[in-house]
Amino acid sequence: MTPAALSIVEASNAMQRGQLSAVELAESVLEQIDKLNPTVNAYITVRHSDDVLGEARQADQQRREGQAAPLTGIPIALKDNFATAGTRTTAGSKILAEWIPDRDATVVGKLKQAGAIIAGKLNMHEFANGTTNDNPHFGKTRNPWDPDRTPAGSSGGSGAALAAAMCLGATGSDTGGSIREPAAFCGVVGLKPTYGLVGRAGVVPFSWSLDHAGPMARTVADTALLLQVMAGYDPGDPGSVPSAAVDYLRDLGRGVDGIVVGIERHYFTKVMDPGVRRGFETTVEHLQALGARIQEIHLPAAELSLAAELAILFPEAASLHRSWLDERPQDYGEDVRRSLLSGRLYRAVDYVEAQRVRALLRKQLAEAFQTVQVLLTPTMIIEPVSWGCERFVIDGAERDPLEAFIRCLVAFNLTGNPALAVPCGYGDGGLPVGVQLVGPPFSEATLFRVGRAIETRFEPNRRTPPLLEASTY
Amino acid sequence: MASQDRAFIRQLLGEGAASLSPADLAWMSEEAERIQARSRALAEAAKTDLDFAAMVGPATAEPLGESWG
Repeated sequence: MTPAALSIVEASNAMQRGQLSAVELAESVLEQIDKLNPTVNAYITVRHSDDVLGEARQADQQRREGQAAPLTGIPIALKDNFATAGTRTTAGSKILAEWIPDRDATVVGKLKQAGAIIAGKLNMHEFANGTTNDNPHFGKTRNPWDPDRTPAGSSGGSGAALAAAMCLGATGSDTGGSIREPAAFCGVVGLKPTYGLVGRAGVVPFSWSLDHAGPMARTVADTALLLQVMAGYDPGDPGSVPSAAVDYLRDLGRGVDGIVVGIERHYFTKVMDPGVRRGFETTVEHLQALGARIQEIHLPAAELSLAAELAILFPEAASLHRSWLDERPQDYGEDVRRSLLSGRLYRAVDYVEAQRVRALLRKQLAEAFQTVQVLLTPTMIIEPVSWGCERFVIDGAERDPLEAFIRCLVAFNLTGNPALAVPCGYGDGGLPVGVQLVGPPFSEATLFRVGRAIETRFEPNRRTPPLLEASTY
Repeated sequence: MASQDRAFIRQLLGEGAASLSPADLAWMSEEAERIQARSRALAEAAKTDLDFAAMVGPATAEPLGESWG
C-alpha cells in the first residue's frame, strides 16, 4: 500500500518509529495527485513539489531534533475557500480566480503551526453554493468510487482527494451539509463542529449564521486529531466561542456501553434508499450489540428544517454577493447565479419566520438531548448518484433533488449542534453509505467515541475505491 | 406567467435581472412559487406555535455562538 493511503495516525506512528520519512510520504502524495487528479479533478491548485518536499525535509529535521508537533510532516489539503497567504484562493469561482490573499485563514495558520504540509487547494462547488461539485470554471470533481458519479459537495474536492489518497486530511466548510454530503458519498469521515468551535476568519463566507468550518479525514481518529488542532477561539470570527480545551482523542476507545442513542423515525429515518436503510439499521444493531441503548425521540420542527434553511441561507448569501450579482452576474455559473438571485425573492417576514422555526427546532433538540446522548440519522438518504440525475424516486415517491441531498443535514446548520458523518457500509451498487451522529453543543468527544465504535464494526468490511486500487496496489 | 408577475420579479431582482435569460426568468418564476409554498409552511408553524420561548427566539442573523452561554 502506498504511504499516501495511510491514516494520519498510522503515518505519524511510522515516522516516529523511523519507518517512514516525511519526504517519502510527501512524494507518495504528490505521485497520487499526478496519477489520479487528471481523472478525479479534486485539486484546483497543487503546490509546487519543490515547496512541498522542502517543507517535508524540514519536518524530518524537526522530528530528528525531537521537535515534532501533532501533524509534523502530514500532507493536508484545503478546500479552496480557505485563504492561503501567497497561494490563490478561488472559492471555486471565476470572480475570485486570481485572488491571492496576504494572510492565512485562522485554521490554516493552526494547521501549519501543528506541522501540517499544505499539499494544495481543493475543488468545490462554486462559492460553496451547491451539492454536486459540477464546477463550470474548474471542471467537475469526480467520485473515486465511480467517476461517472458526483462526489457530492460543496466540499467534493475534499471528499474525493481523501478517498483517492491524494492527501491524508482535508478541510471543508458546511452551510447546509457540505462537509457531510461528500463524506458520505466518498466513504470518508467529516465533522461539522459546534457553531463557534472552529474559527472561520479567512474562510470565504456563504451564509454567516449557517456557515461552519471543519475537518475531514479517512478515519474517526484522524478527524478528532484534526479538530484538536483546528478548534479554539478565533478573534477574527464574530461567531467564535471561547471554550475549554478538550482532548478529542481521549474517549475514542471507550466503546458505547450504556450510551443512549436517539432515533427519530417521523422525519430523519422516514425516507431512504434501500441500501442506505440497510446500512442504517445494521448500524443500530451494531450499537445495540455493543451495549448502547436505543430510544425513539420526536422532533416535529424537523419537517420544516429545509424550508427554514433556504429562507435564511439565500437572503444572507444574496446580501453577501449583492455587488457582484449586480455588476458581473455573468461571471457566475448558471445554477449559482440563479440561486443567489433567488435570495432577493424572499420577503423579510419569510426570513423572520424561518428564524422563529429555527428557535423552535433548537428548543426541541435541546429537550431531546435531556434523554439521549446522541442522535443517529442517515447522512444522505440516497446512494451516490450519476451526473445529471434530476429525478429522485425514493421509497416509491418522487422527491425534490435538493431534499434528496440535504434532508437530514440542514437541521443542524440551523441549530449549530455538532454532526459527524461516518461510513457504515455499501449500498446496492457497492458504493459507500453513511450515518450521521448529532450531539449537544460541544459534545464532539462523545460523537468521536460513538463514531469510532461504528467504524470498528465496519472496518473488517472496508473496501477500497476501484480507482485507488488500480493506482496503488 | 403574467407580464405583471415578470415585471415584479424583475423589480425584486434589481440590477442583476438585466442579465437574465428567458430561461433564467422562467426558473425564477417557478422558484418564487416554491418560496411562497415553503413560506406558507413556515408561517403556519410560527402561527400555531404558541410556545413563548419560540416566540422570542432569534429574529436576526446574530451568531448562534453568542447564545451558547
